[in-house]
Amino acid sequence: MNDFEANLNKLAEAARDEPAPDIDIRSRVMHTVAAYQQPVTRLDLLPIAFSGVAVTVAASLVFVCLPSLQMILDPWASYFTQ
Amino acid sequence: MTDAVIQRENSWHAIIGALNVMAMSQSSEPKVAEQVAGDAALVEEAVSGDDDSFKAIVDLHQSAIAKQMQRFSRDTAIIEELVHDVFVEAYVSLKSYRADSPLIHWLRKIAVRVGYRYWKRRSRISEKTVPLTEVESVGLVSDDEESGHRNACETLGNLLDCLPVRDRLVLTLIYWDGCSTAEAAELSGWSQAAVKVQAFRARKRLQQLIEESLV
Repeated sequence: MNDFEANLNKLAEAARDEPAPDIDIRSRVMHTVAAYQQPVTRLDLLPIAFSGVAVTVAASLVFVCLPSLQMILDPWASYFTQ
Repeated sequence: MTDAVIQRENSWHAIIGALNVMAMSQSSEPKVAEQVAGDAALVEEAVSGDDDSFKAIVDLHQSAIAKQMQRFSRDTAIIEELVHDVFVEAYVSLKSYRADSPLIHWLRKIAVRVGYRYWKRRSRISEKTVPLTEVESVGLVSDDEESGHRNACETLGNLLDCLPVRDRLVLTLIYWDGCSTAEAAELSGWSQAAVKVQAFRARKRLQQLIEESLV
């Protein structure tokens, strides 16, 4: 072992014996941890399902009715363009 | 992964844990086995939602973890912050504690990870340069023993602070914590070969830095 390593070891040994800092973080930790224990508010599925069904029905109605609507309105369009 | 597979894995871990505890109790480490059993009981209660058990865990180990975090910062406020982070991280992953070694070993692994992360974050924010102190002139000789230890800590901290984060971590674990290569590998999550190589390079680099500063 060279001088450098011996000195480093000596220094580390002295440093190792330093007493631990006097801290008390129990209440802080428990406060943070309490946030993890909050029950997760679950989303109500009913409104989501209802709006999903409503959008689907509306979309299919538009799809079905669009040709008839065009059929009704097309003569008027030709009237105005003439 | 299905529940059955998870359950099977958990039961395997429980069996391995129990076997380890049995081995410890049969060998010359009955105290360790007792400690592990006590830790496991506390952890189980904490996992099931008992706040007092987790409070007891914090109370039992905060001093040891604070001492560990002293290696990562000399500022008491930062040490407090780091210790807090260690216990919060421990709480979140409490279920992953396998009772095959004392809880403090598991907490120390988390502490090293938290400290290493802190160093990396800090090194990104600012390229710090602490003037190198001569190793010979460390505060080993002091009238007061406590201030001698404190001086030694500060000198060692400043010396290691000149190194890149990985070098610093490996030298901190090997010299400051007095870990063996195997222990340092376990705490850092690196392989033993990686620890050896890193330590060799870090020592060289530190020696070179000191020699350059003395010229």
